[in-house]
Amino acid sequence: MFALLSGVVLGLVYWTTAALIDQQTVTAVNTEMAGLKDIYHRGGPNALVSALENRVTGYQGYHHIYLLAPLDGEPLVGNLRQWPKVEPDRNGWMHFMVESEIEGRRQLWPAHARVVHLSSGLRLLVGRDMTERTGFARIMEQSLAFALGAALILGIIGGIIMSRNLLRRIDAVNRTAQTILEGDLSGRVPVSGGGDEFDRLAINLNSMLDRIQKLVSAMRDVTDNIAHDLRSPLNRMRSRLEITLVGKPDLEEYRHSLEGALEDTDHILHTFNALLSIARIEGRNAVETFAPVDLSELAANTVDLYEPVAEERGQSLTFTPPLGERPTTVMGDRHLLSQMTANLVDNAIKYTQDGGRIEVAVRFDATGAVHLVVGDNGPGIPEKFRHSVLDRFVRLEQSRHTVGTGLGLSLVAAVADLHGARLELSDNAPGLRVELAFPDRAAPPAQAEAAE
Amino acid sequence: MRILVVEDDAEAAAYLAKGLRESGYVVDHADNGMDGLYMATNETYDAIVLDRMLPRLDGLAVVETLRKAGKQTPVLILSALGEVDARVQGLRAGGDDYLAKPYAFSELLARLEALLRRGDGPTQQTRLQVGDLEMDLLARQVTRSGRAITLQPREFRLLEYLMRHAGQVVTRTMLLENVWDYHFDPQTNVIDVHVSRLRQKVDKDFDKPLIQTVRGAGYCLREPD
Repeated sequence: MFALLSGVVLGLVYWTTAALIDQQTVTAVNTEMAGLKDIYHRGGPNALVSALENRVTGYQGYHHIYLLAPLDGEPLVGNLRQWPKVEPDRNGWMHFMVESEIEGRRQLWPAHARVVHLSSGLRLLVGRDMTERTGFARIMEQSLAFALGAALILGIIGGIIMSRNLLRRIDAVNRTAQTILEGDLSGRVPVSGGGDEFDRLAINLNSMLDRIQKLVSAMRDVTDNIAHDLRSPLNRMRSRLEITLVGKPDLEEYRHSLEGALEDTDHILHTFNALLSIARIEGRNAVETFAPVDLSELAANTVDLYEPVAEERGQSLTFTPPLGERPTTVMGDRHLLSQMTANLVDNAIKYTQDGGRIEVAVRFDATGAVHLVVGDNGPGIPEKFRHSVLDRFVRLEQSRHTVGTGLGLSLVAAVADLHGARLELSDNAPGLRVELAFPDRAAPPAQAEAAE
Repeated sequence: MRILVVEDDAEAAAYLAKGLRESGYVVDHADNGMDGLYMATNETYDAIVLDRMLPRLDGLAVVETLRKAGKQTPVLILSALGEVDARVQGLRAGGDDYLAKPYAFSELLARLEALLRRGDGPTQQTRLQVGDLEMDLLARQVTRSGRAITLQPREFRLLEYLMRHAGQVVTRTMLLENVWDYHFDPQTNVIDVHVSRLRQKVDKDFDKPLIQTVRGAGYCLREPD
């Protein structure tokens, strides 16, 4: 490609330069011819002959060629020994070789001349020695050939280097793919930093791999967690059934054992369902099912549902809507948001001492974003654990005695994430304050994501 | 009462059929969608328990075809897909209720009974009565033995649901779904607390308790024998 291009460029230079030289030659010859014809018309043949003699003697050498001869006779005057044996073209131009002896050596050189027939049966030839042009052409040809050769060689070398570079980078991608095929998901395609297409490909492949790795490790976590959290109740159930069979139980004992097993099964199923729904929420990106949800109404309903439960424990559970008439609508999945709010309130009731206080509020922040706040005056969560409680199955030691799957807050985190809401756990001094900042309604999370 | 069970898992179907027979139903079984549809269109059943994922013809397609053929037999769809969206799909296809697997048999039984009784009586009632308990739906007033009982709006709806399903077992999930429109299990015994509050108002000062706890299943509002 490179060689071809440089060939074309050089060819163009050659061709235009040659054309220019030819043009100059033609113009010079035409001008001189016109001058000579003028002399002939004014002074007749004798004036022309003398003028030609002057010129022939004036120009030593052969750069200028003149010859005046009758149509079928020996030349009268001029610096050519004989009339060239070439037929002129329609415009009287002819190309021929001139043989001459310069410093004792016979030489052939090219000439370019024009012939004009004069009225007195004479013909006049005016021309130029074209050695220079031919020389130029030769130089051009040589340099062209050289340039072409150089371009070809450079092109081949460059091509080899480039394709080797290309192959090397493709090979890097292949090696990464191989690493991953062998089961090591941490492999990444090297990025050269040049910012070219290959880098962009590498960056995209790497972020794809990051995502896959994250998903796989999330899946592995789920599996580990299922194994961890389901093994003990399954084991408990197994022992219960086994021990019942070992003894000689009466009907009442059988009944008791079966009821226990049923309870265990319910617990296992509940944990299993919670895990599945978290995994589903996390794997979901169907934001198109989102619809406007009134957060205040939803929170009020949740408080309404849990109020008797709190009352039973002597706790106060209140809901405070924001002041003013501004709608507290967010884009979301009503069922998931209900479940999330219920989980938060449920947790607050569970972990706050009897007689405690739980406050649910919906408010606007300075930017106009809607916030859902659930605060209690219970034991709270020490700062260093606040992040980890969002992980699955993390239950603080102090809460081990209470009932639950340890999945409540991770479900909250998953739902918040799906809605693009920021989840913040803070000190309620005393107690725990969970605050969810929903994104502006104008930009539902799907669009915000797409804009990134 | 004749029930058609369309379920491809033979063991699950056997347990289901056994449980339903012990509860006094006559049970037929089909193990694929085509046979299920054939039986449902050519025989008369009081209700159909339909698995959603079936060989040969999908459960949803069975309901749709059945409804297009003009059969209004109540259908309870069973599915491993428990999400709300899946549930909506099932109901839209023509199902009358939707139960996610794994389910408690008592739950299925309670829902089935609710479906079977739904056809009874006028739907546009203005008064409900169970024993000496009366509810005026228009004036939104409740009296027992002529004595007025003051209820919160939510308590009213809870009692209304129980009264509309008087004599039937109503599960906690059914109450959550129908009174609160919550389609998830809130773990805590929220429903129990609500019911016990209602009991305080409805049963406490009277000799015969009307709201009864059905062990392992839920509640039942009925006149004691």
